[in-house]
Parts: sequence; structure tokens; C-alpha cells
Amino acid sequence: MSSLAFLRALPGVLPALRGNLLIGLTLAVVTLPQAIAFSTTLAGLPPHFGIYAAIWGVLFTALLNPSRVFSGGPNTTMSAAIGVILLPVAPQFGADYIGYAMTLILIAGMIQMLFVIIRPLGRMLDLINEPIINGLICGIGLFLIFKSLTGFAGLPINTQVEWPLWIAWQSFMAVLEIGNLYAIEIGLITLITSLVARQIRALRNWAILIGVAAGTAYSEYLNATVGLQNTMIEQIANLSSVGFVLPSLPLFNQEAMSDIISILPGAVTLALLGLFQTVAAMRRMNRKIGSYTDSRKGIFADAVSNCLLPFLSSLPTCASFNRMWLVYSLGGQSRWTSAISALILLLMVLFLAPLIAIIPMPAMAAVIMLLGANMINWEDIKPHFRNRGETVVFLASFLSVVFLDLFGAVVVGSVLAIGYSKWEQAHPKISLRGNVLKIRGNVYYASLPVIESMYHTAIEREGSVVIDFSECYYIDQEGIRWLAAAKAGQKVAFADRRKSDDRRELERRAAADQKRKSGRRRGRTDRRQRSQF
Amino acid sequence: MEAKSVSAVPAKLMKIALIVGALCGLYLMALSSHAERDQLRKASVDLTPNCKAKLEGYGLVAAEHYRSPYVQAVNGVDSTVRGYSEQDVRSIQRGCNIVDDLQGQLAKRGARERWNADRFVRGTYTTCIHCHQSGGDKHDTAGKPVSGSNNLGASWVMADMYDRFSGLIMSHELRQMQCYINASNGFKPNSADDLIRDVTAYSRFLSAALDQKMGQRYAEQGLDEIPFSATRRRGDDYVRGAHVYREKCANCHGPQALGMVVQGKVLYPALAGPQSFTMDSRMYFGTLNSLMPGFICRNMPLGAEGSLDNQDCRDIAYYLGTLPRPAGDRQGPLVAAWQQVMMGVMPPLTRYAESLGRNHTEHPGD
Amino acid sequence: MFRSQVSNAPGWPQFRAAYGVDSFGGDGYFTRAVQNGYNLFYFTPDYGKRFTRKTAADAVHSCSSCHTAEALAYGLVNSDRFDAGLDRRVSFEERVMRCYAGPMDGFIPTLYDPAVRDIRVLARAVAHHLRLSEGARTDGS
Repeated sequence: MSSLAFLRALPGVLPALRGNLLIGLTLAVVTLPQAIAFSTTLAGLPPHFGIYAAIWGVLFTALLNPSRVFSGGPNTTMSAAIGVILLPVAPQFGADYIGYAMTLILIAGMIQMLFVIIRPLGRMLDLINEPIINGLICGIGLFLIFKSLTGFAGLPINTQVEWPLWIAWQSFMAVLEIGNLYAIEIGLITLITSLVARQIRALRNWAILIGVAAGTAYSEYLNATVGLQNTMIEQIANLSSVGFVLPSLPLFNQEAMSDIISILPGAVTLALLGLFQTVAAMRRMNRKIGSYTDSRKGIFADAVSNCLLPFLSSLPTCASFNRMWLVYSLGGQSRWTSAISALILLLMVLFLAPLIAIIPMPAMAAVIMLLGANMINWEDIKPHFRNRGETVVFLASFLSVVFLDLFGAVVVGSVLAIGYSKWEQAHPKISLRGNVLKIRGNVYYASLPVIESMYHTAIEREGSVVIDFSECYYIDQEGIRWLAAAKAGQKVAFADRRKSDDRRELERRAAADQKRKSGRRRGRTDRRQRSQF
Repeated sequence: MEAKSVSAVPAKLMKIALIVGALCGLYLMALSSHAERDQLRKASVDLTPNCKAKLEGYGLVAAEHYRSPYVQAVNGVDSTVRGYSEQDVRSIQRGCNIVDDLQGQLAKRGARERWNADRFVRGTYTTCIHCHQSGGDKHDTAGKPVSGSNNLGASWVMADMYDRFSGLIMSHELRQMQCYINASNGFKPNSADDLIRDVTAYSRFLSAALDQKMGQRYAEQGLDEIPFSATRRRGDDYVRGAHVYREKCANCHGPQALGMVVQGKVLYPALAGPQSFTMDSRMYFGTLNSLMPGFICRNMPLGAEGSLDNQDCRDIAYYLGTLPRPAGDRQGPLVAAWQQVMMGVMPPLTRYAESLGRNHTEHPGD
Repeated sequence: MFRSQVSNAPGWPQFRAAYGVDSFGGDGYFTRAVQNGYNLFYFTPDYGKRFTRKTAADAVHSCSSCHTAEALAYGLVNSDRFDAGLDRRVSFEERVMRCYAGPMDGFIPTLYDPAVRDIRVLARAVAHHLRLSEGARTDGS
């Protein structure tokens, strides 16, 4: 019976499968160079970590989330955070570094799990508004461009604490003065080819791949003519050890304890960066497509994935708006496309490993520069400058990334989020028309100073006040006590919420009062004017 | 719609042309900078007087073999090792110049001759010989390397050890970079920079000249240390240190340890404040409390070396450690910002407050 | 299964004893780096597989196929010199990187990658054992 039902359903399923196959292929091809670049240029990990994130990370997040549109995968910001956090701990690409990276991701995953288990904590993420996220993202975009400078020129990065924005100028001068010219040429060809390809609509999704292909072709030409030993170009290198899966053990032993403790703040940073991005991406996706998926589900998918992926030699994952939008705009369904793209990637890595191995690192650095530049999107930033509060928050968030490290930026972002929402709540809209003091908003301990100031102004001017709190959203105990004390003063009446007729009568009287007063003022003004002549 | 898309094409082409033009311009700048560097590498080197004396004393010439006059004189042994080519000799000469005159004040073409080292240090004060005296190779009157004199050759042969402050195996290049970050409160040159490579070449030459063996610990490596156990164990006291500092050090290093600069030349380096070493430096008492006392007791005061008690040296170092100085990389940007504020605000405030109180209060014990 | 700890390759205890690695400590960052260097030097296809296409079946498959540990040490103390063929000064690290790319038919590792650093550390440990100074020549002079 069930097999008959399956066969009957097949004609309907096959076209959908074919459609998702193409989308999955597109997704795989778009993700592969990015995943490798994130791993090698940003996180300081061998390329298979990015590849496994693009396979297992994408698959886990899709399967763990019931949403049709949710899609996770390797992420620039999280990869960059790993590189920054672990730089003082061990030299990149080494066995120690890899062990610490896996431990870092596991701890971050466990912290993310707390946001799932403790619901109010997860709810706090909704306080992170768009200006904060966009500020962080723009700052990180700038960071990515400067971080890639040394890789672009085939120069070693400085394996100590380094905040690239501080030494951006020195890195730039180093590129000009001592950079490997062959590397620079490869990077430039990759950049220019990608930029040109992006302008052609049909090639937009493939622009990065085309750029990388061009850079690789030139690199191979140089190696054939000049020789790799003379060009000294670093490449992705041998991926033959990469198989279906590569189990790994995070580093966790007695002697590593001090280093693990030192990276705990970094784990918090990594966890929060992932959560912020997931919540923001899902919020944006919901609004764009006019549907709703609870971001809790995305957080759950992230947290579980990031607890599992360290054991599979993978970078951490979080939601990606760009990836979700790509799948949606092509008409795909996220679970199918994720599964298909994961399979295609795996096949590509297994069968095309020798080709992937020769991709030059300067091309990867160019990819990161492009992605960084894409993160600074004026269309996303522009709306924030129409509102003063949002402008301040956006700039503070952006500058905190520029001048503080990622941990500082996350702290500032979190503080801003809470502070901004509190500021908005603590400044209700208060109007005084005649002797009617109308409060729209919250009457609570933080807004009372503002309310009381207006109240006393009203009492001095009018002698008595009618407090209209019919449009109050919330009154706390302190608000109630203040209202009671004000009423006891016998100069105060409350507008009766139940009788709308009375309310309208009060407003009518207040408007009439106002008109009379302005009429008298005009009369005085007219008399003053007449007296001048 | 079609008209709009047609007019958008030239705009797009312009945008691409601009970007490609800018990138090509940068590439041409890179070619020009590379050519300039190549020229400098091939140019003959004007040695500083100290370097001229030192390298001539060690018999550095381009030849197939190298025989160190020092080894011959001291050990009575004719040690012949591999010689240096012209290019190697120039690299060693440049390295010596960098150590002796980091910011190119004695150079005809200024900092360019020192591979723009001034880009990596803050202010015009800092130079390597503040700590690596006599070009990183200080000898006593008998001609022997002085113990605890920060010898650069000894540093080369002992490189690649684990460094607990950075948590890394410290190659000679990284150690130089640490100096730029910590001791000179600066930025970092890239480890592939000629600035680093030439100083490495010079350090390696010194180790050849002194016949130092790989992995061997020499007394002239690093600085002498004075741990707490080398005192009468009465406890370190920064107030006592401030008193000794006022008596013995302030005349040269200034009452607030901000150093002395006369006519643009550093006479005595800063020991606190923005021109001084950072909180990550090993000279900072809070990081390593035995090193600065060792340096002080070995080398200070100038002309009266060895006159200070071990406890005095620890107290002075402790006192200097309490004065505001720049934060290191590991302290993070918030501490860095705080330290910048403290360095800007506290010294003038203290100076003013002390000037008010000076008429009425004498320091006890002065 | 990937583990961070350095693996014990065949012959390491004997090498360690023969070259006095324990003078740097029974264990520790430096000693482990020497051990990793040993693994890379003698078993390059297993421990340096990212930077070589060679396998154990190839005739020349490891650094030790062409060099001895002593030669490596002499190479270190004679490095950072002008190379007429390349018309520039060439560091020890660059020579190692060129070896990976050339004879190992592989790829160029990054300068501070342990695949390069630990070869240098191995060379240093052997140079210490042989009491070599800068510029020491293999003919003993």
C-alpha cells in the first residue's frame, strides 16, 4: 500500500527534486570558495574545516529546523572571531590551534544551548535591533578587508595579538613594499574578474567562483612559467585526507586548562555573534517573505549543530540571510536544497580535490575582501540615519567594532540593545493640552522623572491637572504609588477610562481653553503691532 | 524601463573602470615601492660611528671565509666559518645601524635608511640601545661580554624557546616584534620585513663573531634579575622606591619619569608615560618583577653602576610600575583607553597638586 | 580521528636519546615541537600530508630521503645567506618551503606553520647537540 502511494506521489515529487537539484548545485558552487576562504584566511584552520561546515553544518541546521526557509552554514564573522580569539594562544594551522578551535566552538555551542534552555535569556536576543546588527556587520566588513591584506600579498600575519584595524596602515604599506608581487597579481585578477562578473545579471551568483577560477588559472600559468618554488604562492594544498567525515577531539586536558580559561570570553563572543546573526537573519527573512518562523527554532538548530560540529572537524554555523534569500528566490525548499548541496559538495571534494588544492590563497583573500565590502551595504544603512536614536546606536555599534575588539563590540552591542530599549521605554510621549496631562507609554520607575517634571509644570501653570493615562501600556508599583500620592494632593483628577464621553468632553473643554488663550495672545500681539505704528 | 537599463550601463561601466583603475594604480605603487626597496638593498651602507667601530673590530668583510678576531684574541683559536657575501655584509651593516640608530637620526636619508622603523615606534624617543647597550654587544674593560647585557647574538642562539608571556614558541623574528610592541610601545613590522631580517642577520653575525653555540645559555643573554630572595626580605615598598628615585634617578629621567629630551635628542629615556614601555613588557614590574631591578642594579645610575642596594633596585622598579604607562596588546582596548586617559590626566594634575603643596610640606626623609 | 597531541612515530625514543633532546626537558612546548619536527622530517607523507603529494610508496617521499638530521642542522647555521641562483638572501624557512613545493611535489606552507617552524626547531636541537656555531662548516672547521 505504502509503496503504491509512493509511486503515485512520484510524478509530483520528481520535478520538485530536479528544481532543488539545480538550486542545491548553485548553493554548493557558491558556498565552496567562501567556506574555504573562511577557514584558511579568517579562522586559520585547514580548508577542510570550512568544507565540512558547508556540508555537515548546512545539513544539521536544515534538519534541526522545521522551517522551509531556514538555512545555516559557515559564517564570516564567526570564522573571523575564531582567528582573533586564538591568535595569542597557538600558531595557526597547527595541531594545538585546531584542538583549541574545536574546544572554543564546543563551548560556544554550549553557551548557545543556554539561550535555548533558559527562555528569558533567548528572549533577550530580540532586544538586538537592526541598527546594532547592521553596525556590527559594517564594522566587521571593514575588519575583513583589512584582515585580508596580508594574505592578499602572500605575507605572513603576525602571530600575536593583533587587531587589524589598528595596524591597517602598516599592513597596507607592507603590501606595497614587501608583498609578493605574484600574489598581488593573482589577488587583483580575482578581484577584478569577480567585480566584472557581478555586473552581469546571469553571472551574479557565480561571480566569486569565476573570479577564483581566473585567479587559479593565472596562478597555474605562473607556476608553469616561473615555478612554484620561485613564486612562493601558498595554495589550499592537499585535501586527500578529507573523506566523508573526519572525526576530531576538542583539546581538553589539564595542561591546557589555563589557555581554555583564557578563551572563555572569546567563546561567549563567538556564541553571541552567531545568535545575533541568526535572530537578525530570520527576522529579516520573515519580513521579506511575509511569513513567520520563530527564531527560537533557528537558535536551537545553531546550538545543537555547534555542539556536534567540533567532533566533525568543522567550523561553527549560523543562519545566513544571503543563503536563505538565494534559495527562496530560486524557488527552493531549504531542507532539500541543503541536503543536495551537502551531497554535491562532498562529491566535489572527493573527486575534485586535486583541482581545489591548487586554488591560491591570495584568491581566497580577495574573496574575503569582496565579502567584506558586500557587508557594507548603504541601502541597509540609510534608513537608520532618518532617526536620531537609530543613528546613535548604529554609529556606536560600528565604532565599537572599529576601535574595540570583537568581545568589546559584542559587549557594547548588548549594552546598547538593553540601553536603547530602556531609553525608549523611559521616555513616554507626554502631552499637556490645557490642564490635561496625557501619557502614552509606560508609567514606571524609569519614566517617572520625566512624567513628574511635566506634571509639576502643569500644576504651576494651571493650578490643577487631569492625568489621562488611558493610553498607558504598563504601570508598575512605583507608578501606582506616585499616582495615589498625586491624587491625594487634591489638585489632580484622573480621566475616567470607562466613560469615553467624559473624556471627549474634557478634550473639547481643553481645546476651547487653548483657543481662548491663543486668541488673547493674538490680541495682545496685534495691539503691540498697532502700537509700533 | 528599457531606457533606464540602457542608461545604467554606462554608469556601471564607469564604476567598473574606476575600480579597475584604482586597483591598477595600487599595483603600480607596489611595483614602485618594490623597486625602491631593491635599490636600497643594493646600495652601500653608511655606518653609524658605533657600528663602524664594532664591525671593523669584528673583521666583517665580504669573503669566502670568516675568521673572528675576537675568538682569536680571547680563545687563541683560529676559527674559520663560512664567509659572507657582499649582500650579507650589507644586511648585517644595516642591522647594526637599525639597532644603534633605530629612527635614523644619524642617517642621511632619515628613517628610509632604517626601513622606516619610525613607522613602528611611537614618538621619536625609542631606540634599541636603551636596553641593548653598545649595539646589543656590551663588553667590559677586559673586553668580555657583560653579564646580563641583553646580547643580541646570545639571543639568537637561544631563540625558539617557549615564551610564557606570549604563549608561543618565540622565534627570533617574533621576539623582535615583541620589542616593537612592548619595549617601544609601537606597532608591528611584518615578520618578512627587511627591518626584522637585517637585525636577525646582525644578531647571527654577532653570534659568529663571539663563537656562541646554538642552544647554549650565555651570561650576557637577557638581563640580570634580582628576585625577592636576593634582598633582605623586608618587602618591596613603592613609597621607599619613590624616595630613592627622587634622590638618584629624577635628575636624569625627570621627576615624573617622563625622560629628558634636549633639542630633539633623547638624553635619558622615559620610564613611564606614553613614550615608555608597555604593561606587557618584561620591564614592567607587574609583569616580571625581577628584570627591571636587575637592569637598574647592573647599569644605573650612569657613572655609579653597582652603587644601589638590591632592595633599592626592586623598590625603584616597583615605584616605576605604579606610574601610568601604555597598555599592552594583551590588556585589551578598554584598559588601553583607560591608560591613555591616566597618562594624559594624572601627571599634570599631580605636578600641579605637588606645586601647591611644595611650599608647605617637605617629603619625610628628604 | 584528529587529536592535538603529537604522535609517537617510530624511532623517536632512539632519536631523542641520540641527540640529547632531553636537555631541553622531558616534555614541554619545545620538546614537542622537536618531536613534531622529527615526525615531519622522517615521515613527511603522514605528518606533513597537507604540503606534499608524495606517498610512502615513492622513492623520495620525506625530508630524510635527501637529508640527514646533521645536514639539517648545518643548513640552519649556514642559512639566511645570499643565494646567487636566486639573486637574493634566502632564509632557512624559505628553503624548507621550497623543499615542500619542489622535491616533495607539494605546496608552499605559510611561514609560521608548524610544518616549517618545527623543522627549524628540530634543526636547532640537533645543532645544539653538535655544538654548532653560526656559519659552522661540515668539514669541521
